[in-house]
Amino acid sequence: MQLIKILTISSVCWPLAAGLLTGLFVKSHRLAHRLCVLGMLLSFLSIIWLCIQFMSGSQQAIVVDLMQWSSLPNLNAKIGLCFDAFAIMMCLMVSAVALLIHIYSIGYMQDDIGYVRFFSLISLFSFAMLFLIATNNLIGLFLGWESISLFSYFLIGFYYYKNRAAEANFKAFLINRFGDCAFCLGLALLIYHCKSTAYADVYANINLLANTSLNIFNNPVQLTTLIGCLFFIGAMSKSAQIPLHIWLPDSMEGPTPVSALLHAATMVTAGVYLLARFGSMIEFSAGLKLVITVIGATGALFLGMMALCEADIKRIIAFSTLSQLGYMMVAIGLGAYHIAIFHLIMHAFFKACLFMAAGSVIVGLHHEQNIFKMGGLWSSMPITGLCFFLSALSLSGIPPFSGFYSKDLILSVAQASTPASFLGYYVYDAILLGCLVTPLYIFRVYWTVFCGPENHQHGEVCESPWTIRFPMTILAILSIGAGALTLPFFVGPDALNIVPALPDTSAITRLNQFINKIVTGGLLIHALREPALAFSIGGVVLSWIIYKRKPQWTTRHQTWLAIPEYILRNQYGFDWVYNNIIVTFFSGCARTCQKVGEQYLINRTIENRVSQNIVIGAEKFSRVQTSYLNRYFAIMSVALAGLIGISLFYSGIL
Amino acid sequence: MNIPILSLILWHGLIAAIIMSQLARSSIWLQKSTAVIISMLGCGLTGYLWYGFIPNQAFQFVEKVPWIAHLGAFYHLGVDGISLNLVILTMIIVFLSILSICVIQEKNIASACTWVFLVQAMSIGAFLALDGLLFYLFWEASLLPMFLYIGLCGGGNRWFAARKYFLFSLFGSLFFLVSILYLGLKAGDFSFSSFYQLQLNLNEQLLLFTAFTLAFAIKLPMFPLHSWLPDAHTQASTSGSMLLAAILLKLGGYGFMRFNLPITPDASMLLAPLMTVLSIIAIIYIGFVAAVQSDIKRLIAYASISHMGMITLGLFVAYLMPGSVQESTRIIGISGVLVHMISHGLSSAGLFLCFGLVYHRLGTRDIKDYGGLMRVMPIYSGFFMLFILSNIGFPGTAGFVGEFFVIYATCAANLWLAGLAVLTMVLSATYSLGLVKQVFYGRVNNMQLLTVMDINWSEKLLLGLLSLMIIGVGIAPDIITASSVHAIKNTVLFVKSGQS
Amino acid sequence: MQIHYFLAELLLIIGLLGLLLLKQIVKNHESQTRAYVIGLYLTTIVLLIWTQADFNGKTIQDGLFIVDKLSLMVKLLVLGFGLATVVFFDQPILRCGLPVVETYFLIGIQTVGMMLTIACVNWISLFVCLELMYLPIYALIGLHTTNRDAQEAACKYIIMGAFSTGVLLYGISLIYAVSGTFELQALIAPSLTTALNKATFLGLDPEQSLFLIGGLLVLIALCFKLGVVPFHLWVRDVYEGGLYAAVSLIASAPKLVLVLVWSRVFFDSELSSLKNITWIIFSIGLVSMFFGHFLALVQERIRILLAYSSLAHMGFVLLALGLMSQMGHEAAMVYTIGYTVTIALVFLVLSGMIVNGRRVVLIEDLKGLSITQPSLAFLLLIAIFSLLGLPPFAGFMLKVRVLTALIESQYLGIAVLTLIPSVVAACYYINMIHLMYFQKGNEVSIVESHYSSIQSLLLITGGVFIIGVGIYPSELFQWVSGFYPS
Repeated sequence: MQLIKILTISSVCWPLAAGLLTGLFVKSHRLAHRLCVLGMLLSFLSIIWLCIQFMSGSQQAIVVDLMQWSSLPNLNAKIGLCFDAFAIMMCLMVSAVALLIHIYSIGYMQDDIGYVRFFSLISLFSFAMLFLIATNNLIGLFLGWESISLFSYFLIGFYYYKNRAAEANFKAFLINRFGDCAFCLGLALLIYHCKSTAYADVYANINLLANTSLNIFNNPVQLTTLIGCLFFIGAMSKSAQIPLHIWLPDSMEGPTPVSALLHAATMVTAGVYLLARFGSMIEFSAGLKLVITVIGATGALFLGMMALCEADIKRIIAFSTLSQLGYMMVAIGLGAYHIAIFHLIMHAFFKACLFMAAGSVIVGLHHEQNIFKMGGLWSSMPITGLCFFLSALSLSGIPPFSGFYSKDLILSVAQASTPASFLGYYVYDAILLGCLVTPLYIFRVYWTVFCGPENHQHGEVCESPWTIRFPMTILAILSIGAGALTLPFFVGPDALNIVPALPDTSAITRLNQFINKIVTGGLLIHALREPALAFSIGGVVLSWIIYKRKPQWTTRHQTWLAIPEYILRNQYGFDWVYNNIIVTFFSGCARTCQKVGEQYLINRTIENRVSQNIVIGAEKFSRVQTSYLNRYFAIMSVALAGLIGISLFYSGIL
Repeated sequence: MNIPILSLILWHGLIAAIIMSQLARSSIWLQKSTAVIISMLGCGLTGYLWYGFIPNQAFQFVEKVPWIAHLGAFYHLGVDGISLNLVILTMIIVFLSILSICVIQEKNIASACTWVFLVQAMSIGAFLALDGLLFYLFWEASLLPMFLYIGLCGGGNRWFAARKYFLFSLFGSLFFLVSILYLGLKAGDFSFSSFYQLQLNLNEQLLLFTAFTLAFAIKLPMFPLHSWLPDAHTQASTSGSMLLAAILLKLGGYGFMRFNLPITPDASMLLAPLMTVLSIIAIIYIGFVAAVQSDIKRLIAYASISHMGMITLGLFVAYLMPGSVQESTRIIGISGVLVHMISHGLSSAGLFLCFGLVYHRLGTRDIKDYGGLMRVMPIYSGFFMLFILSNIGFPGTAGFVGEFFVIYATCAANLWLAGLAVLTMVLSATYSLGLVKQVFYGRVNNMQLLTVMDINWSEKLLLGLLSLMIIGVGIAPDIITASSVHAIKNTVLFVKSGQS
Repeated sequence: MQIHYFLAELLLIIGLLGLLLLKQIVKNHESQTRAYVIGLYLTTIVLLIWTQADFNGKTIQDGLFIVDKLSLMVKLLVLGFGLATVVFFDQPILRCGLPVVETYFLIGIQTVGMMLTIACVNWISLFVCLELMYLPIYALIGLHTTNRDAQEAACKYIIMGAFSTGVLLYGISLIYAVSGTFELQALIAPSLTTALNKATFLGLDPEQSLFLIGGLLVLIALCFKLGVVPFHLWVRDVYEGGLYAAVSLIASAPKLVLVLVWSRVFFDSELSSLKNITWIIFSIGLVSMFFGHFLALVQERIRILLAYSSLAHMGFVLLALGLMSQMGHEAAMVYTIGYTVTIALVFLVLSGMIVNGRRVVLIEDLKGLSITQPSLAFLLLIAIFSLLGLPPFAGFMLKVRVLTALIESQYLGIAVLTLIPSVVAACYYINMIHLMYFQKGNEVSIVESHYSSIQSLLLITGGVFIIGVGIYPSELFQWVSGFYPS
C-alpha cells in the first residue's frame, strides 16, 4: 500500500522537483533538458502504472493525503491527491502531451538564451496542471487553477524584451484573474455551505445544496445555479469562451511549444475540466445549461470563421482551438460530460500535432510565421507536411481519424437533445456550420503552405531535426488511432463513469441510452445518416477547390468579400472594444479618482485650507498686541468690567 | 522558572537602542555586527517565547506590577494568540530591517539602528500591554522614533511627510487618551479584562467607538484619513518604510481587535455597515488610485492601504452576519484578518526591501526611468515577482490565506459585499502587474540600467529569508491560526454576559 | 513672637544684607559673591528642613502666617529654583555687565518674598509678601541698563504690576467689608453676616454682591499674576525683554507660589462657592489655551513663542484649579511643578547659548543644533516633547493627572476640548525639533555654550526629572498628595 502512496505523490511531484532543480541550480542546457524530460518521463510512467493498477483493481479511486492546510472550525482543509477514473484519463493525456512537448522543445528552443528558464517553467507548469487534475480538495483546486494562469503569464512573456509579449501576458493574466474572482466567490460559497473543502463532502450533499436557495433581488435563486454560474464565468475566462476569448490569440507571442502545451492541450481545457468535475452542480438548472450551449455554439462557429482571413499560422490554429473549445462547451451544456472529455483528449492530440507541425515549419523558415510567405514545402519537409495533413483531417472530423469519433458524437447528441426552441435550432445549426468552416480554414493553411507556388526566399529548406519530428509523428499516429481505441472507455456499456454523483435525472438516462444505441449500432453507419459528415467532407472538397484549384476566385470576388473580410480581420471588434472602451474607461476613472480624490479633495481642500485659515487667524490675533501701554490698559479694563458685569448678570444679582 | 520573558523582550529593544547610540563613533564593521547580533538575540528570545506558548489558552507569561497607584494603572504584560504572532512579526521585520541597513547603507548605521530598535521596543510594548494606560503609553511613544527616523534619514521633502505623519497620529490618539481615562475611571482600574466586563449604555459606547475608530483609522490608514501614508513612505528610508508598513500599520488593526470589538460591541454592531462601506471604498477606490501612480513607493503604499481595507472589512463583517450564522464563521473571518495582517507585513516589507535595493543602485523612484530590468537583474526580478504574487493574493503565498478567509466570511454575511471584496483580486493584479510590466518587461531604455549589478549574496540571503517565510505562511497558515483561535473567541468576539 | 519658625528666612535676609556690606569692605569681591550666595542658599535649605520639622499646621504671628507641610514643600521648590537661577546668573552678569552684588541681592530678596508669601494666611500679610516678591523681579529685569528692551519691559511690568496690586487691594477691601476679618480661614466660617451693617449697595443685596465683586477682583489679580488671557499682555514683553536667566526665574517659581496662594484663597472657603465661579475660571482657562497655542503658531522669536505657550499651559492649570476640589488643586500643583521644571530647563539651556556672537533670538538660530551641540539638542528635545505631553516624558503623566481630575468631576466635555489646541501646539513644537534635527548642516550657526560643571549637573538633573516622572510618576504624585491636608 505504501508503494502506491509514494507512486501517486511522485507521479505529480516529479515535474515539480525537476522544474525547481533546473530553475534554481542548473546552468548547462544539456543537463537542463535531460533532467526535465526525465522528470516528465518518470511521471508519465508512474501514471501509466497507476492506470493499470486502477483498471485491474476494482476501479475505485486511489486517495492520498498530503498535508493539513488549516484546522479552523468547519474549514479544516486537508490537501491531498485522488486518482479516480476522470483524473487518470486526464493525467494520462496531460503527461503524454507534456512529455512529447518537452522532447519537441529540445529541438525548437535550441539556440535560445532562456533555454534553462524555459524548461524549468514548462516542467513547473506540467506539475501545476497535474496537481489541478489530481487534487481532491477545493483549496488545492484553486491553487492549481491560479498557478497554471501564473505559469501561462510567465511563458507568454518568455521573450520579455518584446513589448508585445509584455502586453499579451499582462492581458492574459488580467482576464484569467477576472474569471478567478467569480471562481473564488463560487468556491467560498461552496465551502461555506458544505462546511468542508473536500470533493467527497461536496458530492455527498449535492442535493442539500440543490434545494437551499439564496435570495438575490429578493427572488430566491437556487444555490447550485449560482455556484454553477460563477464556476462557468471562471471557466469562460480560462477556456476562452466568447466574451473573454481575446487573450488567446495574443498569447501566441509565447514560443510554439508553449502554444502547443498550454494554449492547445492543457491549460485552456482546465475550464472544461472544472465544469465536468462539478457537472452535478450544473445539472440542476436547465437555464444555465442552455446558456453554456449557446455560448459554446456561437464560439464554435464565429470564432472559427475568424481564422479564414488570418495570415499568421499560429493565430489560425489558436482560432481553431477557440472553436473546438466551443464544441466542448456545447457537449458540457448538453449534459454529455464524458463526450466533452473524450473530445478534449482527442483535441489535445491533433491540436498539439498541428502546433508542432507549424512550429517545425517556422523553425525551417527561420521564424517566418506568415503563411503567404511560405509555399510548396511538401517537397522539402514531407514528414511535417504529412503530420499536418493527418491532424488536419482528424481536426475536420473525417471518419477513420480520432477527431471524427468525438466530434460526431457531439453533433449527434446535439441533434438528439437540444431543446426544440429557436435557441436549440440555432445551436445545432451553428455547430453544423462549424463542421463546414473547420476544414475550410485548416486546409487553406495546408494548401498555401505545403502545396501551391513556392514564394519564400529561403532557398534550400531542410527538414527539422529528429527531436521535432519524433514527437510530431507520435502525435500524428495518436490523432489517427486514439479515437477508435479509447472510444469504449468513454462511451458504451462498460464505460468509466467520469462525473461522480451525477443526479440520474430523466435527461441524463435518455441521453445515455441514445449514445449506447448509436455506438452499439456502429458509429460510422450512424454518421452516414447524419448531415455532419457530409458537411465535413464538403468543407474539405470546397477548400480544395477554392484554395488549390482556383486561387484566383478570391482575387476576382474582392469587392463583395471586402466587408466580411474586414469584420473577420478585426475579430468582430472585440479587440477594439477591449482597448478603446474597457481599458480607457478603467484608466480614465482611475485617473479621475487620483486627481479628484487624492489631489483635490484630500490634499488641497482639507489639509491646505484648514492649515492656511489657522495661520491667517493667528496672524490677525497677534497684531492685537501692539506693545503700547495705553492699549494694554484699555484691554485690561474692558476685560475687568466685562468679567464682573457678566458674572453679576449671570449670578442673577444684577 | 518564571524569568520575566515578556519584560526581557520588551526592554531588549530599549537596551539595544542605548548600546547602538553609544557606538556612533566606532568602526562600521563593529556597528554592523553588534546590531545584527543584538537583533538575533531578540529573535532568540521570541523563539523561546513561541516555544513556551501553549496554543489554545488565555493570556500567558502574565506580569503585573503596580505602576501609577494613584490612578490604578499597573505595569501589566501578557501574551495571547493574537499578540504572540504580532510580536514575532515585529521581531522578524526588525531583524530584516537591521540587515537591510547593514547591507544598503554605508554611513550613520548606528543612528538608523537606534531608531529601529526604539520602534521595536515601543511597538512590542503596545502588543504586550494588557493595561489601557500602558498600551496608550507605548502606542503614542512608537510615534516618536518613527517621526525622528523619517525626519533624520528620509528623502527630499522628508520634513513635510514627517510633520503630516506626526500631526495625523497625534490628532487621533488624543481622543483615544480621553476615552481610555474615561474607561479607566469608570472601571476602577485600567486592565483590559475589567474594560471588557464594563456594562456601557449605547451612547457611551458610540462615543467611545468613534474615539477608538478615529485613533485606529488614522494609524491603519482607513479611507478618508489615509493621505499621510503615501507621503511618509515616499520620504522614509528603506528600513523606515519596512517598519512603517509591517509593524506600525498593524498597531491600528491590533487596536481594533483589542478595543473596538470587545469593549463596544453594540456600537460596532450599529456602525458595522458604515465601516464595511468605508473599507469597500478603500479597497476599490485606492485600488484604482494605485493603478495610476508614477512613483513606485507611492504605488506600494497605496497597495497597503487597499490591503488594510481588507482587514477592516474582515473585522466588521463579523457583525454584519445574520444571527443564523454560527460563531465559527466569525472566528474564520477574524483569524483571516490576523493572517492577512502578518502576510501583508511580510509582503510589503519584502516589496520595500526589494525597491530599496534598486533605489540604492539607481537612485530614482520614477517608474519611467525603469524598463527591462529582468534582463539586467534576473534573480532580483524573481524575488520581486514572488513578493508581488503575495501582494496580489496568489494561492500558495501568504497573501491568499487572509484574503480568502475574509472573502469566505463576507460571503456568509452578504453576497454583494463579497462580490465587491473579490474585486480586490483583479485590482491588485492590475496595479501590481502593471508595475512589473513597466519595470521588468520591455526594452532597456535607461542606459544607466545596463551598468547595474545583480544582487550579491547578502541581499540574496535577506530576500531568501523573507520569501521562505511568505511561502511558509502560504502553505501552512496553521502556525498562525491554530494559536489564535482561542484568543479570538474569548477577547475579540467576547460577547458580554447579558448582552445580545 | 515665635522666631523659631522664621529662622530660615531671617538667615537668608541677614546673609543678603551682609552681602551688601561685603561689597564695601572687600575689594575684588565679584568672584566670591556667587559662591557666598550659593552657600547661603544651601544653609537656608538645611535650616528650613530642620526648623520646620515639627510642622503641625500651627498658625503663628496671631494669624498672619501658617507653618504646614504644604508650605514647606513649596518653599523647598522655590529655594531650588532660586539656587538654579543664581548658579546660571554668572554668565549674563559677565556678558551684560550687570552689577554683581545687586543682582544676587535681588534674587535673594525675591526668594525670601516667595517663601513668606507661601506661609501667609491673612489678606494683609498676603498683600505685603506678594509685593515683596514682585518688586525685586521688576528691578531684576531693569538691571540690564544697556539694553533698551529690558528697560521697556521693566517699566511695563512695574506699571502693569501696580494695576494688578490696585485691583487686589480693592478686592481685599470689599471682602473685608463683607466678612469683617482679614483671616483667610475666617472665610471658611459659615455665617458672614454678623459683622455687617445692612447698608445697601446700588439697591443690591450687599452681602452677595460685594462679596462676589471682591472675590472676582482677587481672582482677576491672581489671573494677572499667572498671566492668563485677558490679562496676559505683559507676558510677551517681559519674556522678550528680560535676560534668559531672569525670565527662567519669572516663568517658574512665582507660578508655583501663585498656585499655592490660589488654593489657600479658594480652598473650601466661601469664595469657592461663589455663583458659577467654576465656569468663569473654565472659560478663562479654555480661552487662554486656544489663544496661547494659536498665537505661538506664527511667532518667529523663540521667547515670544515660549511666552504664549506658557500662557496656554497656565490656562490648562486654571482648568484644574477651577474644579475647586482637593483633587483639582493637587492636580494643578503637580502639573505646575512639572511644567515649571521643564520651562526653567528650556530657558536655562537657551541662556548659555551664543549663536553667531549674540544670544538666541529667532527660532531659526536653533538650526542644526543637533550637530553642533548634540547633548543640548537632546535636552531641548526631551523638554519640547514633555511640553507637548507625549508619553515617555513628564508632560504626558501630568496631562493625564489633570485630565483624570477633570473627568472624575464629570467635566468630560472640557477634557475633550483641551485636546484640540494641543494638536495645534504640536505644529510649532515639532517645527523647533525640525530646525534642530532635520536641518542638515549647511546653515549651521556657531553655538558655543559655556556650562560649568554645576550648571551641566543641574541641567542633567532637570532632564532626568522629565524622563523619570514620564516613566514612573507615582513617586511625584505620592510626594505631592502627601502634603495636602485631606
